[in-house]
Amino acid sequence: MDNIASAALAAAAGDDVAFGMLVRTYQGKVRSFLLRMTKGNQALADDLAQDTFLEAWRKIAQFRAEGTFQSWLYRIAWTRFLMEVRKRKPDNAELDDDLAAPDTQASTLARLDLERAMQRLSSPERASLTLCYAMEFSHSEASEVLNMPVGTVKSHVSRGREKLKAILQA
Amino acid sequence: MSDALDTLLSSPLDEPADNGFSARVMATVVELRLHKARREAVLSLVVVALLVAIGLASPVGAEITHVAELLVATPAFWLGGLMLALSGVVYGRVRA
Repeated sequence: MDNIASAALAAAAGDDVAFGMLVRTYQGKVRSFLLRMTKGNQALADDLAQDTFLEAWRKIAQFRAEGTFQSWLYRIAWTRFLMEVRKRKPDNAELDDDLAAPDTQASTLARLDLERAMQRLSSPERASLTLCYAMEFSHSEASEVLNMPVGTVKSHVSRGREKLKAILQA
Repeated sequence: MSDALDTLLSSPLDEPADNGFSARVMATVVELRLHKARREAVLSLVVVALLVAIGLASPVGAEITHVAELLVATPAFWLGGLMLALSGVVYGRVRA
């Protein structure tokens, strides 16, 4: 069993030091995932990340090492993001474009273009592409995180990729 | 284009520096834990008080109190205290 799995099990047994280690390990990854999901809104991404970790702490006793801790944590992050979207727009639409204050730290123009193009995709497409490419999740792990069938994740990845190609070529 | 896009998509996301984020989360965790402990302490008191009240109000409780009073000639005040302590021990064991 790796360090993360043992720390997650210790945290599930009420060990706050182990939970603190998990927070420090995953804060950067969760915040960057949420930053992309919120289209670069740093403050909102950090609020959602904080909510994600607090909810993880509340539910950690329910964590069973059947899946990975990472997938379990990202699933909470994704759910918090969806709740925020629903709260802002009752019709279940995307986050407002005016929320998308571009605050990307992309180091190259290509990265900057990618972040801008990403903002034009739907949330599930953005999440599927981010998890399957940047975070190196398998389709099956991403489907677990996003609570979608594997086939749906694959079509989000493929459609999102085609859209990005078209946007970047335009 | 496809290869370039795949490479771009596969590059890891820029992770923001911690800048006290973890410390803020853990401070909130400590606050939540304290709040939870306080709420449980109040709840325990309420449960014990209810147990004592039920014990005293029920016919069996009154009988036991009466017999105990006769046997040891102890005032009801002290028996009430004893019941409170016993209920606390039982409740503590059940919770554990």
